[in-house]
Amino acid sequence: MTAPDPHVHTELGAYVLGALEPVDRHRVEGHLADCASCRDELSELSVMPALLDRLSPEEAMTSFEGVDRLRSGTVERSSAAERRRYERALRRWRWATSVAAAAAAILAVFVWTPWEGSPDRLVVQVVALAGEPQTVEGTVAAYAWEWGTTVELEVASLPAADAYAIWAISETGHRERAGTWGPTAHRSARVRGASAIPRDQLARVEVTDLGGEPLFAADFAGEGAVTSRAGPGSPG
Amino acid sequence: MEPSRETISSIEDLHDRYAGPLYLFAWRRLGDRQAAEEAVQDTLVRAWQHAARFDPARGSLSSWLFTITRNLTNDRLRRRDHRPEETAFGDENTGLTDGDIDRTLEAWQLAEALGELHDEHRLAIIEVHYLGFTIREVAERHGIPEGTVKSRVYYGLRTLRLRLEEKGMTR
Repeated sequence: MTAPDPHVHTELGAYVLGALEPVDRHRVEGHLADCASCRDELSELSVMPALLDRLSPEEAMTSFEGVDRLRSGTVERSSAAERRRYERALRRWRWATSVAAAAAAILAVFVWTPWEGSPDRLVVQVVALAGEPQTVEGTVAAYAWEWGTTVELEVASLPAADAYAIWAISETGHRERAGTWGPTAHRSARVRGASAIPRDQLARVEVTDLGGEPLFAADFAGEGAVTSRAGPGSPG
Repeated sequence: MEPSRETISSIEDLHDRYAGPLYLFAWRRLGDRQAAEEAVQDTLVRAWQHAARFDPARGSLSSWLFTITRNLTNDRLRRRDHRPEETAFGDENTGLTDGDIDRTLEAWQLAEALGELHDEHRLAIIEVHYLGFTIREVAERHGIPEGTVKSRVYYGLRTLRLRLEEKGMTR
């Protein structure tokens, strides 16, 4: 019995796809006649051409790119009006999603899997506001999108409150509420909100109680800011 | 209408599970990638906005989502032909069989498995199988030994086969 030839094994892929030169094909076929191990391998691979044909060449080459664009939120809309309509709907979606997540905050920490990637991320430490005796530990990340900014807050030792609101504040002092959530058992939370304020105009993220009393904040201008960037294809 | 919390809390999961097959489905119907991406976005947003309309007793979630995409792509095709639109939720029981959906889901599993391969392995398979180059031609295109190309095709196909087996597409 002929010993298995590793070089012929690795040629079987090209063989089933019909991509070998005639001289190589004849050599592989000669070997197959004597080698049960290679014949078994060939029979396993022989299903592949038909499976691959379930996609057209163009689909095989580019379909994941389209889904990457969907995941990263960078799909181009064909008209400005349609883009605005979609962005409004998406903001409402994110808003409702963050409220739903907050309502589910019986757990101390949410594990949130964002549906899009992270094209541009800025992380800063949160600081307790003057007069607030408790230390608040955590980070706020802001993600830039075509339509605005998502902010992700991760904190421990939340000051006591019945409920919390997270605000995005622009350089001009314009305030937008980006989300609300309720108290958690361990006073820690991971929440996400969205605002139409562009990331490069975002000056501050503030957390208040629902009465509007400031609890703590993170400043996005100045030396405290730490920038980290992730490519559009980075894992969720 | 207040969407159900169950659907809201799983919308991210919906995207992960269905954006790909819906995209492939829309692309095949429209023959236009950008229009297909838009149709999938619109499908997911509408599914959220009208989550309360989904009734598991009447059919699977995938069937509901594919129906929305089908109707949205029909609208786009009608607009091209200057014919009146239907609503995304109308016409729910015609023209879309479980077989259509299954074939699209399977084709997407293949696209996904290809996407999970090492770039070198995927590129080798694409050039050899889909573009019809021989091993020698691929080696010359990239200035690498023929043995390297053979090895990439072989390990790429083996990995792909294993992935598809895990997904239940082959045994």
